[in-house]
Amino acid sequence: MTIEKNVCENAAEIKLSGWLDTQTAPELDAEISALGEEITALTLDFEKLEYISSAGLRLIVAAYKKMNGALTLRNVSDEIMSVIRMTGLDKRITIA
Amino acid sequence: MNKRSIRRWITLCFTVILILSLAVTAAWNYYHTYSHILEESRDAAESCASLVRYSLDSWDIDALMHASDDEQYRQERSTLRALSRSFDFEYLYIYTVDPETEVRHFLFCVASDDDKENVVLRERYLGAVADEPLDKWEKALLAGEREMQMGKVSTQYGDDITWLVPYTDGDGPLLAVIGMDHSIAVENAKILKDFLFALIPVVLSLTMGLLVLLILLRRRILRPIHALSESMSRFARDSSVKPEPIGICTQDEIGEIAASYEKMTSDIVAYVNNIETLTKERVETNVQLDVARRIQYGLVPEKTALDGDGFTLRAMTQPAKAVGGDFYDCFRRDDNKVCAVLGDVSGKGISAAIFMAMAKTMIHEKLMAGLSPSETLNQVNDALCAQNPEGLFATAFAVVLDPVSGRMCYANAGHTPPVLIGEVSRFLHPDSGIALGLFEDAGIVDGSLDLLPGEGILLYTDGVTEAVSPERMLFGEARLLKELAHFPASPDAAQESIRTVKEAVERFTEGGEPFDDTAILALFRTAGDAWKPIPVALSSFNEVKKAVFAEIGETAEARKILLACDETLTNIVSYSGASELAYCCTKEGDTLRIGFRDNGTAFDPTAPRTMETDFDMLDMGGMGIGIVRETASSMEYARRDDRNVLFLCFRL
Repeated sequence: MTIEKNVCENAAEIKLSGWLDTQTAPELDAEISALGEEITALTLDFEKLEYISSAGLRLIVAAYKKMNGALTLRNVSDEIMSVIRMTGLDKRITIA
Repeated sequence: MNKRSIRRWITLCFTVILILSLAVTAAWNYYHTYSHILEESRDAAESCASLVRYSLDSWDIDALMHASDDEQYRQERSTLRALSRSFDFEYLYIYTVDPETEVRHFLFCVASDDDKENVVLRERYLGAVADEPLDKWEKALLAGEREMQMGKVSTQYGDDITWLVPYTDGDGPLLAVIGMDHSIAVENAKILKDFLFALIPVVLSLTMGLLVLLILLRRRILRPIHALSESMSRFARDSSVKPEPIGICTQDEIGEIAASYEKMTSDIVAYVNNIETLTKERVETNVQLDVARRIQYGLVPEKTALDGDGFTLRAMTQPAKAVGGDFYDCFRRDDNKVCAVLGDVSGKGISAAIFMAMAKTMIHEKLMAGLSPSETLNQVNDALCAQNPEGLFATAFAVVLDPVSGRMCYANAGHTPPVLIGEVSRFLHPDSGIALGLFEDAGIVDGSLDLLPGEGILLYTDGVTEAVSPERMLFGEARLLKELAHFPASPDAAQESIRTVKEAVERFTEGGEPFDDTAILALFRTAGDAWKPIPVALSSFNEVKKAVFAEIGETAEARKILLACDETLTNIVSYSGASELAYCCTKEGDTLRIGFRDNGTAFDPTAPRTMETDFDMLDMGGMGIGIVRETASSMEYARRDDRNVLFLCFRL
């Protein structure tokens, strides 16, 4: 998995590509934790994400809490979307 | 019942007979005596009357009537009195009856007794008148009757039998009546005396007879019966001891009864003793059989199932009525090889059961210790030969199968050849050694072959091939092979093969002797899941990923399948505490089957549970199992050998 992070003033955007599974989840966790206090909105771009497991979904929930709801998922493929729907995350999280 | 009732009854009978005899005798005797006395009385009266009549002829009655105190009258009177006395009459009297007035005028009246003489002298003097009405006999005489009349009269002079004789002058009218009285009391005393004299001998003889009869009865019947009855009651208390001889050897019916009784008692004693012996033997045999049965049932269960990776094993025994020595044993060794033994001990009962127990235990121990089948059987043979006082022996077939490689090693100690079940089933004819327990150095050797997945081996005892049909035909090996010839490979092959054989033999023996006393064991190598061990680490997911991609390619579907695998693996690695982990991945038709096996805490992800996790808690976990359930087409979970075995199936 590769992580591409762009920070613009108070907003940050993270582009993920490859597999977000149990093994790679800690990498993303580290990136999100590294975001400073000034960041108040986060966008996760799933355009190139091939796979997500519950470990990744847990990070999404954690980020959602950290941003106080200001979390947006972008370019979610049908495949990833089906997993998000499975767990009911789509009901809370903004998916652009 | 009173013991003396017979004697009492007989005595009563005899008393009644005695009384009846006495009554009849007395009645007869009385009648006879009475007639006799009356006859005597009549004779006396007739004789006396003729004498009186003779005297009267010489007297002038009219002159007498008027010559009361004259000397001649007194003389005549004393003559009459002498006559009366000599004939034993109480009174003798002569009187005239006036036909007109019917008044009696006494001429004479004498009494034998002195006191009575004084009375009649005073009252019935010459010319004394008696005007009582005439009684019927007097009237008859007056009317012309000339025969002597007899009457019984009661007067102031006592109760008498009175004889009245008419005194006439030729055929002329009645001149006087001669009366003679015999006292009834005196006559009765006479009758009684005669009667008693006649009766005494009868009574004496009857009584004597009765006594003699009673004594005889007592000696010949009552005493033997009493002895018999005592002996019988003693015998009834203890019928196992022959009673003392009673000692009755008479030739009569009692003797016959005694003889029959003694024969009967000796028969019964013999019979009872016989029955006791038989019962004792029967009980001993039953106890033996029972003990043997317990040993056998304890050691050889009626049904056994043993499944593992790459193999399935089923075994059964059909218990016999008389306990046989069929046995089987199956277990998995520490090196994951499967051991199966099936054998048959010669003989029945306790010794066979114990021999079987010894053989089975020793074979189990040696195989468990890692010895090959032939080493096991040879060593067990030596041990059995060393301690086999009964000369028993056992045939046995031992198999060790490596379910992973399919390598099967086997050895035979004189047992029936097993059937190899496969595409083309056949008998396996190994180098057959000698049955265990017969000779040392049995020289049993190992044979080996490779079982392909789906192939199996069927061990059985001769109860199968020697099952007998109602037509006295043997089931035989050919029939057995025919039943198993084309056996479809299936996960249930072991169970099915046993069922096929059992049903075939049951059909064959139907209506004849029941099919029992047999053991069958089937061991099949299954297609098996090729478990691949992987480290208990999250990184193992990569290996699973490779395998899945290898099976179905890097598709979206594959990623979905891997999501379920990822979640499962994460759960095992993170929460089960397992130290061993293996997976398998096979494609069967349009289904991908992925298995995980771990030795961690038992956990069944298929168990129903409510998992409405709150959104705010989702980052704490709990989504994994939900995702697996959503993703997999079906899930199978089993806890085997202290391992969690989970299969996820995905319809492609």
